[in-house]
Amino acid sequence: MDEFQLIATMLDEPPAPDDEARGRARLRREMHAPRRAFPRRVRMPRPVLGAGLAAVAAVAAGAVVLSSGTTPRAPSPSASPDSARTVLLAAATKAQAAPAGHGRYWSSVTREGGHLLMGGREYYSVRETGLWDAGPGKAAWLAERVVSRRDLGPAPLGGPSPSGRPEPSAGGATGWTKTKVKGGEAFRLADWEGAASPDVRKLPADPQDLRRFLDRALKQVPGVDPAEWLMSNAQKIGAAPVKPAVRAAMYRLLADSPGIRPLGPVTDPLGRHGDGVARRVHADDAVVDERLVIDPATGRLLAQESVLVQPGKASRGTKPGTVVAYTALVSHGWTDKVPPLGE
Amino acid sequence: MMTIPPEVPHAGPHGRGGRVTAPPDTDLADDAALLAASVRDADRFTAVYDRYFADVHRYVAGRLGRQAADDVVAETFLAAFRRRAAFDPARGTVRPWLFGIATRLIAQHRRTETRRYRLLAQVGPDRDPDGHDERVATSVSAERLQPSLARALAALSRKDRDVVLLKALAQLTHEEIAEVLGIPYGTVGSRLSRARRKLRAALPTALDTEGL
Repeated sequence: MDEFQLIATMLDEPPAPDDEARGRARLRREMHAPRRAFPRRVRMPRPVLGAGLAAVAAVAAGAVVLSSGTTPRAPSPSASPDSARTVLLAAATKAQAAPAGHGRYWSSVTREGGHLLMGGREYYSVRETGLWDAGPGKAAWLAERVVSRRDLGPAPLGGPSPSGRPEPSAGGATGWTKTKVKGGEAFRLADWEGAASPDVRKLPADPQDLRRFLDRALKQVPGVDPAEWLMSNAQKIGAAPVKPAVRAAMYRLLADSPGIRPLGPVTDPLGRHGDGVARRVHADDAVVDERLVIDPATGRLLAQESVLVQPGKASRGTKPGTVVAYTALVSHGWTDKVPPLGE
Repeated sequence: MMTIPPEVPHAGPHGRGGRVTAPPDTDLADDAALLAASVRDADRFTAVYDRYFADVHRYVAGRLGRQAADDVVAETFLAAFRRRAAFDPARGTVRPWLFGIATRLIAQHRRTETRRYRLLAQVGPDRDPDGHDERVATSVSAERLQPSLARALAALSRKDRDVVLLKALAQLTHEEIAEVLGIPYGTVGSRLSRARRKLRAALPTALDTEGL
């Protein structure tokens, strides 16, 4: 045994049994947190990012999504839709008037659809994630379950086959698994390259202050367009423990952002009716519409979807109009109780 | 769903190769392809995590302890995820690239690292009496040497320590270490032999390391 082996023995710290799983959950959560600060020339394709928006979304979508009416929806020709600005300003008014609520935990439950690569195969899966977060330095619980999982065949590019990891079966619905995690996740916006992740409770409630706040934050990240940032963070802010006025300010900033167009009445991936707005983005060689679905009655953000407009090389046969990824907010708000999921 | 296999193969230092989860060479191209694919499909990146978690954890937890490793390992993979589009397969493979990221993050936890070595220099061998009997039994010699070894490790310069631990914990080759640290290949060799001399000098002379 030489010095280096002695050192390796001395420093050996095997991970605790759930370290790997907790780390993976955390990575997935942060990976999928909305951010658009990739090197300028290499833009992440929207479809995937959309999936990402869902904290846990990646997993899911396919069959369920397509069958639940999220597929191409032409705006109804009979109704001439309000302008996107009107829709967003109305949402701001409703959101501002919503009760703030109170409780020990901020909770948000999201359902996400997207692609997953596992054990050498590719799956299209739908997953739900719940987070109950008492705040930084306090406790939080993360619960996850797979709603459905469709086997799309062997993973391209000779995907990995990690040893000993069971492959999920098709259909693959699972019960909830709940993990205790460090609190505070829900109180931070996902950080983006080079910039600190702001505490959502520090977001200004005045639209102009919020704009300045974002401009300042985004200055650290060259190449990120504020409108793009707002669209991709809408879901996060929509489900974060912010004051109603902050949500309203976000809608008002979106209302003033260029390039957002109205879609009229749409249905979200959970079958809920809402008003849609969209922003068209180019992702490498693909064109994608990034959509927000808003409940006009409450101003709540219902879902964020990425819809393929023009397939690119990576789209691999996906047809235009397909919702390639989504995050739907199932519920969010303050509560005193963590539900006994998976127990 | 994402259950952990009941036994995470843990090499410890006793296996010959020690590279528990490192893929055979034929997988190296797949690694790069996987990373490239994850630029388009972010979720592919979890496969990179699955492939290298054990290796990166061993390296980071070895240097910072298990508690700090939680965050640093997570930050390593997240940083890798964010920079995945910039990964250039022409300049090296994925595994050393990950260790490079981890090493730069570890550098921000200098105090945690030295505190850990100082602690190891103080405590006795019974760090972990339950659960790792085999490890404990086979590493008695190492434990006798622990205080001197830990002190010597704490006394190494940061540059020497990076080289030593990339070799001892990450089991990188000299070429890979050169790539990770951005230093000439020859420098790796000279730092390693210098560090080895210092470590050896710190060990009790009564214990000839050749005989262990």
